[in-house]
Amino acid sequence: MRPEFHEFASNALQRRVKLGSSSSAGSGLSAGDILRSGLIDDRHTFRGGTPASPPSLQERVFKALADAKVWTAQVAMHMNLATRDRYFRQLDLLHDCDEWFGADLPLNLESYKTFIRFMLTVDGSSKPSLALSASGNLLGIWLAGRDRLTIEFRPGDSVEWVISRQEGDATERAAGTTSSARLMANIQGFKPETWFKLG
Amino acid sequence: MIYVAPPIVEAIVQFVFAEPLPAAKMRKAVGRLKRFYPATTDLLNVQAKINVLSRSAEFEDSPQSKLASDDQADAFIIEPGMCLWTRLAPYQGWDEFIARVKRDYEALLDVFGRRKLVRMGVRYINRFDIPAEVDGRIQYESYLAVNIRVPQIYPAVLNYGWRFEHEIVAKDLLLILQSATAEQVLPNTGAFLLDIDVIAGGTLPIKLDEIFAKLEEMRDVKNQAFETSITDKAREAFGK
Repeated sequence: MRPEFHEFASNALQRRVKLGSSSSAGSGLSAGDILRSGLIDDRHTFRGGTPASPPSLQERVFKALADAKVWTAQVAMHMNLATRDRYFRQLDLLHDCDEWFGADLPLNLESYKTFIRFMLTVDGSSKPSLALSASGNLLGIWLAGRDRLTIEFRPGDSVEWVISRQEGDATERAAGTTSSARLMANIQGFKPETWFKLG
Repeated sequence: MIYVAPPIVEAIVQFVFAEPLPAAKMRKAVGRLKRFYPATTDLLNVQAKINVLSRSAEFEDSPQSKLASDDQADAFIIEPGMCLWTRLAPYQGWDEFIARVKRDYEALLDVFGRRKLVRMGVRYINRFDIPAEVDGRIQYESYLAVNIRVPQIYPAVLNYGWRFEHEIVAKDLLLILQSATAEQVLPNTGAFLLDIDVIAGGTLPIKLDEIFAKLEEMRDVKNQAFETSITDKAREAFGK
């Protein structure tokens, strides 16, 4: 069974800190953990948590959703509650176990991070439809009339984009792969303001 | 001070029991609180003490249940030796947080009666996302009033970490204040943690009202530590 989390405790540290620190449970983030990981090397007690049984599809889906929602808390102070709740509703719908194909993977957390980080850089009123690739990458789809922009958000702030745009009677199509920071520069010739409000 | 966008990543209240909870009582407590938290995860904590010299290890199992809201922002965790409540961002304020703690603890007292506590903790983990200057440097000192003074021959540092403890004798509390650089979360920013932990040990109250009065006292210490650790520029960034 794969450890769910692990945490080190050092007898030396416990001696030095009269009462120890209060536990951190949700964010997995604390200055104490960072300091300890860098400064303490005399660990000899290991504490790990394991799921009680191998994960079912429901459990894997639950974990993927829970991980995404917990990570969202890292940036939730930079987005409004309605936006966060809209993402969560869409993610919940995308992970309906009754509609699940056996080999499909639930949401890849690293892809989700790329999506959220990108959305924090564009206008807050942008509301893409979301989809999930078979490999668990999140896709955002922006529609404006017959003009469509699809972005697959990959781990590590990488994006793959596909544009279909009406120019008179002709339909122009283009695609590319870039970093999320360079996306706007990549699609500049296709009037990104069609889908995003640009400052 | 109430902020529009407080930098709180996680708020925690923890109670450590003098005696471990019996497994049956713990299961009953979890059952009682499930109506408030739709998402439940049961884990088994396994602690291994490894003796390198004799090349042997001792294992100790301890069940843990995590009950969480659908959005995972509110959670309650219980183990035989302790229970804790956590609120992730977006933080909705102390009143809402402590009302949940009180609601749940009252329900727990119905299950296992008054229990002696040996430790109470109020911990707030804050993260400041500070914009980078044009030259890529991040002036974290403009936001954090407590920082390390380094010699002038080091005009910039890559990472830092500090920690200090202060005993508040009059209130019988221990304040642990820590700060460190953290992994960048947003583009073009640097992330800095300010971790404030207020711990009560020694003789702790047993009655519900007194426990929550103690928590209010700990909250005041936490707030004072926060306000004295940040600058006006930080206050403006959080929307005071």
